[in-house]
Amino acid sequence: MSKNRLIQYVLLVIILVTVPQFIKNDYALHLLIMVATYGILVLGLEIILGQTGLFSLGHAAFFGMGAYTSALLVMRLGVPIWLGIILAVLASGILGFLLGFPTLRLRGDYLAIATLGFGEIFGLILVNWDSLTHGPMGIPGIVRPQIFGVVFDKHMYLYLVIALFILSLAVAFRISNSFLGRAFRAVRDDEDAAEFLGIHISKYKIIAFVIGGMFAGLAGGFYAHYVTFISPDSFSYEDSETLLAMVFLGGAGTVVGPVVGAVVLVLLPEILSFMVQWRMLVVGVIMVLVMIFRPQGLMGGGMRFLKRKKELATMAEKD
Amino acid sequence: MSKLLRKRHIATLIAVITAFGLFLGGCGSGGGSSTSGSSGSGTLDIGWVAPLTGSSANDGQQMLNGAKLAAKEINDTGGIDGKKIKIVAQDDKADPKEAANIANMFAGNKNLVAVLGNYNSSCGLAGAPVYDQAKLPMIHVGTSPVFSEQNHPYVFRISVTDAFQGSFVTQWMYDEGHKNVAIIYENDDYGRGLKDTVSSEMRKLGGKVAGTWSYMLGQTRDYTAILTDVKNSGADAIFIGGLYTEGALIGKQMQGLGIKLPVYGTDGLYEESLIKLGGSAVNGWKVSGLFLPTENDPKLQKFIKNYQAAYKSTPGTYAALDFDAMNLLAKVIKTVGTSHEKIQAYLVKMPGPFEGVTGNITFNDHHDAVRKTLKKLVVKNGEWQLFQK
Repeated sequence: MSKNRLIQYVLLVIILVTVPQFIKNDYALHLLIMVATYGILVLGLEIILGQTGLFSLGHAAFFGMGAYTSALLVMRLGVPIWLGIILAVLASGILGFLLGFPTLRLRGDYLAIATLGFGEIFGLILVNWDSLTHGPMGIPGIVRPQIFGVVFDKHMYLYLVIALFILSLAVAFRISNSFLGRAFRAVRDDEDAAEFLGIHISKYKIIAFVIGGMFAGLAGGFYAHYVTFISPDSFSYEDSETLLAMVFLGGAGTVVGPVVGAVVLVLLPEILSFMVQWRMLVVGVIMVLVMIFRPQGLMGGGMRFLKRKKELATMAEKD
Repeated sequence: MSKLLRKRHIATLIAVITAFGLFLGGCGSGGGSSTSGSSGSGTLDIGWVAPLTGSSANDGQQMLNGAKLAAKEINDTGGIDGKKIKIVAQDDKADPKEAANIANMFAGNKNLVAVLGNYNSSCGLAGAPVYDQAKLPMIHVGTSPVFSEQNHPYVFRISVTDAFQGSFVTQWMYDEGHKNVAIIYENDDYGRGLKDTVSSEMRKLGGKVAGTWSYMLGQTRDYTAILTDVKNSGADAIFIGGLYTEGALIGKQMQGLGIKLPVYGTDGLYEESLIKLGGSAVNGWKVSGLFLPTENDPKLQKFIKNYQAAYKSTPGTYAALDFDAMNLLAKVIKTVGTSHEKIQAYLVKMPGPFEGVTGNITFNDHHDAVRKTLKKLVVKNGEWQLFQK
């Protein structure tokens, strides 16, 4: 780690530790917690969609898997919460593995539809497997974490989720900058060329789904013990859509971009809440405008791979 | 190049987080400074949250209309101790995550006296822990039995529970001589709760359940397979645990298949739209409901007349429920003031029943509204009428 980057991380940590101290309002704390939760979630989708270019419309399923895994293990089997969250990460990773396999042969639109179906199947299982998931009634009264006998309050939740977020961000950067990330982007930009260079495409696609799933599982495990009530409605197709919008709004493929997208799309509707039922209309208009004037996303460069594809296509035509 | 780019990105992220942090810090201190405002300001702020967009927007809008009508009537007669009621409305989009956001927003707003809460049970349950922690009384219209199990101290239910409606209608079916009932239900917390109650109550009475069939709200359009099964099951009545749109579809398709079994349901079917959509196919359908607009009760007639004048439509169950909830709150505030704890204590132990347009209400140990009885309603000559033997 270079000295410069170290300073940046230290600065980021200092800001994230000190700022919450000055916030006394529960609502503001809650929103920051949600921003960080969504931040972790979109970092996972960023690896699947932004880095590897796998169009996934079922990311909410990984989120739900994490939330339900931790909640059920803690509530039914009395597993400690921290272990529950770790197991949630693993369970979502396994789910990513299971999704990765059958979709290996699919590309583009077909993959999107397959992941869409996967998300729907997961939702239907949550609703119908009553004996395990308590069906549409959801799971109420999930226990809150404790440290030295003190039950978590909003400040503690915020620090916890900030720690998890910084960890996720660091991991995402490391991945993006490692051989793994380069392999992901090679697969994204041109599968045939990547295979020609000796990259095992299937392997990296599955790895992308597993890692992306694990990020979402972490967010899910945290969310379940924070809100203390989960039901199938919280992990629906609309949520997958929102996550997708965050990635594209911020800029796919930039790691930080999707996080900015999450910040904007979590806070913007709340800032506009004085408009009551009209706010989502305004959010929609803003999204359309951004996509027209900044199709690469707020943080730029996001759609570079599409442009690159176009370039390659024109080059191929010339040949 | 990429290193430079990333450096810039982290810098931007820091800038964005700081900017929003400052913004939130600012709104945090703003919320803190108005803490003392609740007694000094000239209005009584009541939070209101339910879906105003999405598939349940119709019921949500009715709730808001009902609450606003009650508030307007109270304000027109001078308010409560000279203070006017102000409704702070928010749309939860029928999304539990959004409901939790709004619950936190309300909890952070120290001017709020109480909250009229969510339509969807899952939304109410996501917000309930927040209301408990903030000690902010919330009156909601959810139907899920989970509320009763959880015993949230600051959360009250003014609507009718699935258990109460379900056992009421089951008794009714049994009294009409139907002892082998087929249950068609919506696959969510509402339909599930009703299915469970009707099944167990029917067996308790000594009847039988011919079978249960589920469908997906807003997705299932073709009921012929279910209805053919129902016909072959030997059932002598059908119970529908669901909403009117699906109810009307089921009715039409029953007519098409020539199935003439009597149909029973609950307040989910009780809507003008059932008759509009179903036409002659829903003739003779029997449902339980809280009130009948044509009933000869002066309190109810006044409510319906004012509602029609204000919104040019007939109020449904949910408009009436929030109208009652707002009036109940007004009555409580008039008696004990604006202290959250005192309002909660009053609702827990009401000295006498509150007389609303949906009947007389008190709350039991689980904070569920207790009503003596429901209305038996039937579709006759293309309109809702009171059931007569």
